[in-house]
Parts: sequence; structure tokens; C-alpha cells
Amino acid sequence: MSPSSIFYLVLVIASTGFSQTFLKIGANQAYKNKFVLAYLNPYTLIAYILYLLVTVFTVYALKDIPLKLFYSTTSLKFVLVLLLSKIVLREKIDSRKIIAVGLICLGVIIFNI
Amino acid sequence: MKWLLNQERFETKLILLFGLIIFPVFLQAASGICGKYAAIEVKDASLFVAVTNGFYFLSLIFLILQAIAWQLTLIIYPLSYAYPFTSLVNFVILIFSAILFQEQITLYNVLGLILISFGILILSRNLGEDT
Repeated sequence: MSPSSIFYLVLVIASTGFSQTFLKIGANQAYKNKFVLAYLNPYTLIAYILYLLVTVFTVYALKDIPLKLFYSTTSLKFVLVLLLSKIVLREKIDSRKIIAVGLICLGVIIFNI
Repeated sequence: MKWLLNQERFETKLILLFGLIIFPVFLQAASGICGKYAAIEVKDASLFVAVTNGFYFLSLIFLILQAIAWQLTLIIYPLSYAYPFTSLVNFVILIFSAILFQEQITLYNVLGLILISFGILILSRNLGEDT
């Protein structure tokens, strides 16, 4: 596993986390019945660009990281999304969400053994 | 749309949960499955053949539908509540890869899914309203 593929792996996790956060900020732009505003705003656009970049970073990361290890490691995106929800979106994070994400991460890791 | 969650009716919340959280997961799985069919069909072909393959096209369509549906999900639900549900895609993919592609289901797959299920179960005790 080369340092560059680890770098791309980190980029995959970070871009996924930020992409979801931007999507949520974009979704918050919708009000009343104007759903289309949730799609047509800079935040959602940035999120979709980040999401496309994730697919590119994934290809580079997978150059010398086995697929199963890749999937296990990227389960950290669930932790990152939880952190960003708290820090950026100011969502309420209770112990139930923390336990759920912990179990899911562990589950994804074991699933990919 | 958020007012839908503030309603008292349990059924409404349950329909929303299935329609807006579980449905995008199925779309994501469908995209992956079509991608696999495309990969089987274009095994040693050029990039041009790959992007003109019907399954590849279908895979993209499902991906776009997933993106549209997921944005509706995020209008209603907090991200920290909705996102962990995407791990359910492992379930759908595993079942379909066993049925359609005769791939093996290992003990680790089953153990992993049991843990994921417990996580989802703990999360969905609350239907998304007070977060």
C-alpha cells in the first residue's frame, strides 16, 4: 500500500463526508413547495462535483488497496458524516446515533473480512 | 415538507421512512447491479463499448434517480439520521449477488449484516422526528 493510495483513500472519505454535508445544506434551501430549489443552488452543485471526484479518487486509491480493505476503511465516512452533522449542521447527536454508527462501522468491517 | 414529520400519525412517519430512506438505497443497489452486468458484458472491450453498453446506461440512470431521491430525503431528515441507513445497501447487494451472480455468502457477511441491522434498529427506534 503506497503513501499515494493512502492519500487518495483519505480524499475519498473526506470528499464523501463533505459532499453529504453540502447536499444537506443544499436541501435546506428548499422551502414550502419549491423542491427544485434543493437542486438548483451552489451547495448542491459543489456536492455533486465532490461526488464525481470521489469516483475518480476511488479508482486511484484502488490501484494498490484491496477492494475489501477499501470498503472496510471507507466505513469511516459514517463517523465523519456524524461529526460534520454536529459541527457544521448543528444537528442533535445523541448516544443512540453514536452507538448506531459504531455498530454499523464494525458491521461493515466484519462484512468485508 | 418538514411539517410531515411533525404530524402525530405513526403510519405517515413509517411510510416516509420507507419511501424516502429505503427507496434510495434500492436505487443505489440497482445501479451497482447494472454496473456488474455491464462489467460482465464488456469484459475485454474498449472504453467506447463500455459507455455505449445498455447496462452501463441503466446504471447511470439509477444513479441519477438515486441522487434526485436522496435530495428529497435530505429536505425532510437530518443528515445524521438518514446517512447511516445507506449501509443497508450491503444487504440488498449481498442478496442479489447471491441470486443473480451465484456469489458466495460468507459467515463474516452474515455477522457483519447482523451488526449493521442492530445499528439500524437502534437508530430507527426514533422515526426521525426529534432530531
